[in-house]
Amino acid sequence: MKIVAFIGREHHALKMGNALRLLNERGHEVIYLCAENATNQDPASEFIRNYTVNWRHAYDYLDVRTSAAEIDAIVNDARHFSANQQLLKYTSPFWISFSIREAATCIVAFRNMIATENPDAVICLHGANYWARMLFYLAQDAGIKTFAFQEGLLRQRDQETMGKQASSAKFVDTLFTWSESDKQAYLSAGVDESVIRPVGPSHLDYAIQVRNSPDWEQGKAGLKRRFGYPQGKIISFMPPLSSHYKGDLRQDIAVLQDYANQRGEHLYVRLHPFEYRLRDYLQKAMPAVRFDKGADSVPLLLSSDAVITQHSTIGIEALFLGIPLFEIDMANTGIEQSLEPMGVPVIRTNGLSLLHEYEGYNQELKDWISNSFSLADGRSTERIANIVESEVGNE
Amino acid sequence: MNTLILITTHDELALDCFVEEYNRNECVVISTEAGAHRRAKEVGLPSQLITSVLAESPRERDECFAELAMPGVFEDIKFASTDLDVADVLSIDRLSFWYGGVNAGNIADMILALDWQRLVTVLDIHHPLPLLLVQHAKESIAICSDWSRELSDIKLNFDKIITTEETRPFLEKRFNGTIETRKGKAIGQIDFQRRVGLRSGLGIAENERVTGVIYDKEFDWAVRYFVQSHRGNFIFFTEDERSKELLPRCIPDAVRYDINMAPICDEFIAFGYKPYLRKYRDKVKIIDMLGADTQ
Repeated sequence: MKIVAFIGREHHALKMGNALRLLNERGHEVIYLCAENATNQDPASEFIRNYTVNWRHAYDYLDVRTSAAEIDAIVNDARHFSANQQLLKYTSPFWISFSIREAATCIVAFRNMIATENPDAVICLHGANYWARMLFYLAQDAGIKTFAFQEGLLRQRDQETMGKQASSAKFVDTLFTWSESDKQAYLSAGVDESVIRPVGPSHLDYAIQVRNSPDWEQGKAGLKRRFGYPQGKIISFMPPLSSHYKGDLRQDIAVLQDYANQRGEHLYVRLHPFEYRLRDYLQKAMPAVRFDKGADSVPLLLSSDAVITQHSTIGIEALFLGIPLFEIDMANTGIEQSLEPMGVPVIRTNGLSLLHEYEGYNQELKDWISNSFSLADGRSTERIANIVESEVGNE
Repeated sequence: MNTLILITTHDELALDCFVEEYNRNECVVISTEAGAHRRAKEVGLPSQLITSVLAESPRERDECFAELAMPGVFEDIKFASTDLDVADVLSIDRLSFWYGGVNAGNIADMILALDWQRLVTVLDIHHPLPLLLVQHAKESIAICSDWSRELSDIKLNFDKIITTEETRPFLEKRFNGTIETRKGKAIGQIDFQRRVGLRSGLGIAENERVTGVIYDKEFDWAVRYFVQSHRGNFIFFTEDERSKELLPRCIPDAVRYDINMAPICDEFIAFGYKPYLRKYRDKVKIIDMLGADTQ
């Protein structure tokens, strides 16, 4: 079987890596396909060569003699949108124009790629992604099976306002979800049941296996050394995108740092990967605070004795790994889709003592986890590979 | 006719034109960016800075965006030669990030409520207002100091564009209105007189052909494609910090020199028009392999 997997950003490679590696180990050819990343502040070519995988750039499939005319034909048909009055009231013409040309280039490149490689399956992290949407459409149009993953925490607001969950299944034959309850969320969003396959969080398989191994305490000590703190607790603060954060991010980091210092514990802060500029700015402004700059959040998660977050995928991942999780609401404004009703403690003003009063997951949370996370058994990758083989093989 | 001078970004050529305009006509001067506003005040323009800080929750913002563009203006519009909705690609994972929300709309409404019929502005495509307001003006002039790749794909509805000699040839291909040429602001030029001395310092023979390749992150694939498909003695140059950081990661064997060494090159290759290319004068060739007509 030949599989084309689209890797637009590094987290695509990290989230799909286990599944793609296993498919490759089972003898299937896997091509990691990337493209330009808008204005290339973070081009895929920067990281993908470090993965030592069979990777190609979508534009390599363009024919420099003929593709320009095909691209221009698509652009010219849509270029009037850069003068659309309603759009221009809210959006810069640069991004309208740039995105149309980039889409036109990708449509031509992906179409050529499909004709050249003739893959049996196309896999992308999530179907609502700018590039994946075009690739999935063209693949289905060519009769190729398409597979997508649940990217992260399903935010109700995204579905209610922009129909994101329903949209992420468009042009997707099979959608892998993290749990049965996530399947229910997709069903509620109107996704056809036959498309949804609950498999568990495959990107965490190795982490779950390590966490469940008898040598775990030794492994954790090694990881903590890697983060520079072999002794004492590591408390990780992993907020969502700053634009989604409820409260004063900088002030909350300072309060947590002060609390950890007083108790001889260590604070690590990991911002959303898109916010490396904010991270670098805060690092300069707060030199005593340690910021995690790694591409993968899992090593820090596994090293942590407590994780503090607020409505973020990282919180669910911490629960998958059995790590003490706290939500933070220092501004007392309320947290979107808080996990408090499921039994996750919330740190509010003057409530930092919760961090050392913690006595493990309460029964309420244990019950919720065992009901919701039954597929987090470290074998999700195997289920995915079996499904891909069976669905493509059945054609 | 009352004239609106709209300043969305600082531009030296535009500022000169705004002062001339203000001295000739009845004008209201509006700035939307603090730095440009300060500079306008410094040259004596009675600029008024307009900002908007209305509160908008993420839910309200997302709902308004969905109404605007999901599918909204893109309803039933598909990419040519496909059955793929434009909204499906452009909206949820691209334009939603750049949507200005209630404050962008509020600023536009405030300016549209003023009494003006004639528009003089900078051709700033990173701001919604110049191309929005031109459609409400009876007469319009834009000042365009530099061409950009994206301008090729944008419909320019101004009556007149004031530009530089360097930019005029690009505009002539794409713009049907009046073009007026002014002397552009000089930028540091490469001193090619230093060629012999620098070459001998590096041990490069006089007759050895050296091609300078300008690595700009925006054209990463094109640069890599070019160096893989062409033979030559390539020396790489970068023009911004991020490109300088990316070059060794994306093209590990690239030899990069500081721009001071540019005189050693016989020619330069770039992969899309950028204003900084002016300093390479007529020695630069732009190869745009993705179709944009920027030659």
